[in-house]
Amino acid sequence: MGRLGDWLDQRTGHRGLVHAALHEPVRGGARWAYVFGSALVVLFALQALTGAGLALYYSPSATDAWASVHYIQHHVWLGWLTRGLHHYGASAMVIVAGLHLLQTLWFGAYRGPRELNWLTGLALLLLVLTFALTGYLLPWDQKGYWATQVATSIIGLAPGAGDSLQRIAQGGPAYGNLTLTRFYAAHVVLLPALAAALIGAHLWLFRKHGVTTPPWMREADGEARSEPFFPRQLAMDAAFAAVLVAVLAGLAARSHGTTLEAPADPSSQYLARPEWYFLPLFQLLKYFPGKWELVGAAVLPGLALAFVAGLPFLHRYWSTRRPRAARALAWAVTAGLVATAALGVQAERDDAADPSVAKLREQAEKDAALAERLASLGVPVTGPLDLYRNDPVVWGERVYLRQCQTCHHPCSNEPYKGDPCLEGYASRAWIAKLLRHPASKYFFGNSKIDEMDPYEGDEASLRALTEFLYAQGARPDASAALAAQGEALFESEGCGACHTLDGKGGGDAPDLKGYAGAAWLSAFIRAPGSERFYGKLNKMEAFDRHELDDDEVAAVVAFLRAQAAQPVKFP
Amino acid sequence: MGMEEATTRRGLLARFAAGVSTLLGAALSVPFLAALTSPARRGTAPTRASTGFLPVIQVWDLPKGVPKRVEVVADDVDAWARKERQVLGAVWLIKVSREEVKAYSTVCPHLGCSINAAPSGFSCPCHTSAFSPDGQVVGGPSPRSMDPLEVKVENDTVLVRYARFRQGQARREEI
Repeated sequence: MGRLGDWLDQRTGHRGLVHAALHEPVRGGARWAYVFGSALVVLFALQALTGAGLALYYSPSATDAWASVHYIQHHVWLGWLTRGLHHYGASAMVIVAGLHLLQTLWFGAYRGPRELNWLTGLALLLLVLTFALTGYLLPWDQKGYWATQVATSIIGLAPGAGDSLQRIAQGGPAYGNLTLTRFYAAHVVLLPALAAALIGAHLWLFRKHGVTTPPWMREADGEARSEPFFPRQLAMDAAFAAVLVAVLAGLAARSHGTTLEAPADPSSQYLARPEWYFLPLFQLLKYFPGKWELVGAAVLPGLALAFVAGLPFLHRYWSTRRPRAARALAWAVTAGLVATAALGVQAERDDAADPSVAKLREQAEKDAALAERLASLGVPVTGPLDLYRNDPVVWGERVYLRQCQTCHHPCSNEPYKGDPCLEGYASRAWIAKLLRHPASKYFFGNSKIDEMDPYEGDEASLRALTEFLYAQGARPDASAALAAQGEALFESEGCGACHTLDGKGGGDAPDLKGYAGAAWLSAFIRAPGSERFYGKLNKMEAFDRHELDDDEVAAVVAFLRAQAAQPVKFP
Repeated sequence: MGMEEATTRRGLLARFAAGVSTLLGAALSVPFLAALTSPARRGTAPTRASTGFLPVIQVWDLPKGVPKRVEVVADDVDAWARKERQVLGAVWLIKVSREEVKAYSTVCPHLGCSINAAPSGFSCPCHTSAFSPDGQVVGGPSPRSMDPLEVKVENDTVLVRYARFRQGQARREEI
């Protein structure tokens, strides 16, 4: 071993390198306040290693990104842990970088001749935030998609070149494959290269100027109490980093990685919120509406950043006149950080007080769980939004919301101004209500179809008639005996005066043979104005194959058929 | 503090620092190594394609006694992507009678090149392995004969159970 070491040392000089690394003098002695710099190096290594693991599986395309992340989460060995560590590691980097900055600030280690240490450090902090921003989009889920939209839109606000800058940032006029390839290239090639170079420069400058003597010690005392980095400072650094990594692993284990929301859907309603470290900026925007937006988005953050960057120079200028300038500046920056944190807390409090936020969050969780369930059947090559096609009822609901709900409003709308409300459609309760109150605003009241008389027979007859109509939809739980009674009533109570039961119809009222069954519904959606259905009375748009293809009609039909098992949501 | 005590304390700290740093390095490598070696673990990923019999051609579209190359098409899952009607590969079919067809994999057992039909049976263009009309290896480096596939004829439709085999060894082992 010793001889191999000698052989290697003669050729590489590695012993000198190791010695130089371990015997860096720490002026004033080792202390816990110095652990943050090494912790950042460890976190950078953690992000690089987990990132490399993720990159073995991740696919940066709009059709594949979400599915590949789902694959990492569920099918790669410890993939959930890798994702979780990478996610929490990003947050830890922001926190530890903040602590490192505060330590440097209060120890006065930013002062000349260490101006460039301070500036490269600040550049690294901005780089950490850029890493976070670019990484957030990559899973192509709702959260990342919508939060990042806000960031690139802010770039578009820049006067003059805004549009061009936004196109450069997102790889074109809108989000898509090119946005992902661009963000991915930035996140895994450009930013890491830049970070490695800056970390190198930062460490080089640190070694050149050495550890700053703590401000409460005289230089001579600092020198006298100086000790080498190894072993005490390294022990502290390693212990802190180990605890940090253990905490991150614990967090990742507790949440089994991190959430993957439903796939990005440009047509959806989604509550866009950035990750916690951007909440202060998000909150700031609220105070600058309209044409003042740029002030909150760029001017104020820019000024704050310029102040922090200018700190060593301000100190040089002031310290000649005011002996306590360093303390004043440290307080100013600390107060600024506290104010920034307060903005973030305020953003959280605003959301907590807003019931619509809670509702949208709940919806997002439901969507995520649904996408997760459907993705276990494999994600179609056409992209994760076609996941919903895996389940016709789910797909049907999406088509329904897009195509049908413009007229058939949600029953909860008050006052109700839509055409017949279809939540709980063709369930027994829905049919019975229709028979009793056809002119109700929830049925044909708003459509101004008032040809049908309310059924005024007793409850038993109503039940039988309802069962007869219900059974037309080939429902396995229908009672044949009760339906037969209803069929007799259909004629005796005069329904047959307008409604036929022959599958052809007469143009006065819908033919009810197979009513609300799959074939009846799809024929109805294609041609509601045919003789078989509403004929001349029809007010509904016919959906031809250009508007809804056969698969979409089948899906809507599946969704409507499933409504019979849902409760009716109006009085 | 005596010199000896200081040395012991320093030695302990040095060991602690070295030990924790080593452990930390090892711990940081775990997620990457797990991701790297994950494909070697069986049963963690969804299985590819269907392993059952797949219809490939109508029996009357096959000439009797002459090898015909036919594509195998089925729904496939490639990692996360579910693809419908994907070409999984191809098979050589030789019709013996209306009820009997023989099927061979087109993948050469040597190193996986695609086997062609030849006047004397089959041959692989990559390393000149030669096979007889019934798939027996008659020359070249192939360590075994062409891999036969399970095949049956039902209602005039030829059905093949498509499979792949480990290459470069004499023993036939499905993968």
